Amino acid sequence: MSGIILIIILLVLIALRVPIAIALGLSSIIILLSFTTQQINSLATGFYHTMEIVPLLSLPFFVLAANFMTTGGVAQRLIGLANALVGRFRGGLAMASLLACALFSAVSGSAPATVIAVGSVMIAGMVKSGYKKEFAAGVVCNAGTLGILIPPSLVMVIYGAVSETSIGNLFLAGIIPGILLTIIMMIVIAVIAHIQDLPRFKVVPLKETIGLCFDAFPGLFTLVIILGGIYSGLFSPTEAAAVAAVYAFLISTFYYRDLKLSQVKGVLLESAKITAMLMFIIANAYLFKFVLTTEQIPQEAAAWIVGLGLPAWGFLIAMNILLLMAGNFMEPTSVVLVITPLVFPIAMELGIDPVHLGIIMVLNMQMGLVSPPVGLNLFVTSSVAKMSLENVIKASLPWLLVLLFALGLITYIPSISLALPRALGVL
Amino acid sequence: MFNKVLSSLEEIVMASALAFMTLLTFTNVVLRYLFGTSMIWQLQATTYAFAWLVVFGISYCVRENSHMSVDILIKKLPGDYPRKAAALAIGICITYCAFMLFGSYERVEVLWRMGNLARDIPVPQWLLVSIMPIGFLLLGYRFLEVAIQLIKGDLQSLKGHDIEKENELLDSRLKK
Repeated sequence: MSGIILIIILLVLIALRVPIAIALGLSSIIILLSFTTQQINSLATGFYHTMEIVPLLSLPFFVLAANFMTTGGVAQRLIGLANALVGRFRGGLAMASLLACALFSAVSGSAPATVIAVGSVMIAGMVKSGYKKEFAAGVVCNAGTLGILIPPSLVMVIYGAVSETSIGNLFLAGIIPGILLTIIMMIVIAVIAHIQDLPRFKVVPLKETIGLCFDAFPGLFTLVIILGGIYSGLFSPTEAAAVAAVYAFLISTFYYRDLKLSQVKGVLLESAKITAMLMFIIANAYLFKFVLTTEQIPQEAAAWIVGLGLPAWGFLIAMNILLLMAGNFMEPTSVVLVITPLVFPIAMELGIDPVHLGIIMVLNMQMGLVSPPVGLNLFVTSSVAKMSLENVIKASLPWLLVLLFALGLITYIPSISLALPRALGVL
Repeated sequence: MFNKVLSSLEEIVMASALAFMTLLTFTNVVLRYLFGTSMIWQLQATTYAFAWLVVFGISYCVRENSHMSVDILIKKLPGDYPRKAAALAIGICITYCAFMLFGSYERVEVLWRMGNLARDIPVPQWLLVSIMPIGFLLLGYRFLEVAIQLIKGDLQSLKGHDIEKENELLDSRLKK
């Protein structure tokens, strides 16, 4: 009973345009004070404890590293490399945009940041070489969602912290699905390029390509630091993120010399702002989770669903639909924070692997990023491509089918996600 | 004048807290591998800096319209209703602040009476946690500012997460 009231209050508050963080917090406070004997100061304690959850400490560091990279010229070098590698094929610029998105995703952790970094250069480039603007915008808007699938990924950090799943394993599990999705999209582009007879880009000589490789290498090395550091046991995910942030600062300032020291304060402030915004939602989502657990709501729902005799695959379909609907109205981190405490216990009851569940959630969130009305990537694309939101939505909708296909594959073939962590013996 | 001082204080605390926690965590890794020692107080100091960053950042985000919200329903209301709905939403936000202010004040008081020191840092626990009530007071103040603008009619509805503005910022940074 209290569970239904909790959800209703939450939805009403969100519809009233109360910030999502406060909607989560206040609905929890109301239920806690009216249905339990808990005191209000236990909520304040819970709120503060969120700041002491060690995996969440990696959040500001990843945001900071990504901001140094966008400001400090790493992005442009990755785009140059991608052009040299695949530009020669038919539809080469579109493929290069996709590859640049994948590369940038591998060093940053955010999907909108990927669209901005790649889109602001590549969309104009494609239009200039005779691509339709709609096609160019659609490619970048959707390829940008790779930002939360290919590690490092902010959404995975948050899912890992809420569900107490190893962030290292989640990162590993995202690699093969990320590469798979890149390949699928690459094939789709090749087919479209063939049908529409899209132009090729001039062949870049091998010597020059190698030069570009060397030029982009210090940026790509961030991935080695993050993943290599975590799996070799050199540092924890949090420390890896801090080292990556310092490293990104060092290469942007002293190696590429694209970042002026006077810009550093702005980058710090911008990163701190994003961190605070996310942490406010996260801290309140913990209050929400606390109330759900005290009231035994997920357990009751789990018992009900298990009682229905719904098989794991049936539950996964239901969860996919729920996540897609939620993803249409909220941005990924909020959805993961609200939905994870609800579905996680049910999934565990049905024997679904927590790491696999995390990857499924991330893919759903990718689709949420490019589906109206609230799709962060759509907004970002419309502003970098200088196109109306309606046109971006029309341009990006066909690609949703590609993402849906990948979601199906990854949901029902768990080994796509789990093979790599299992092969390395960490799962 | 007060607002100007407050805003620059928020900015300085946020930027330096982030720089401090990044450098501290990095230094600890360097110490561990190059010198075989580590600072045991590092993790706790980092979490306190994090708390300061977040608490000051939350009210800063109100000023910058950075908090995530869903506006599809409110946008479609006719006439003066968006302003009324916004006033209601701000009232709800202030209620939330009041609850959290009260709760966190009680928490500080309990810690003050116990008089414990923090685990790894020789500072009383209540002093470190007292950032919470201060933060919610600040947050309430920021919401009150918006409420006054709404009542006066200077503001027709709440401004949302301003993506356009953020993109322009990133765009200009990319071009440099």
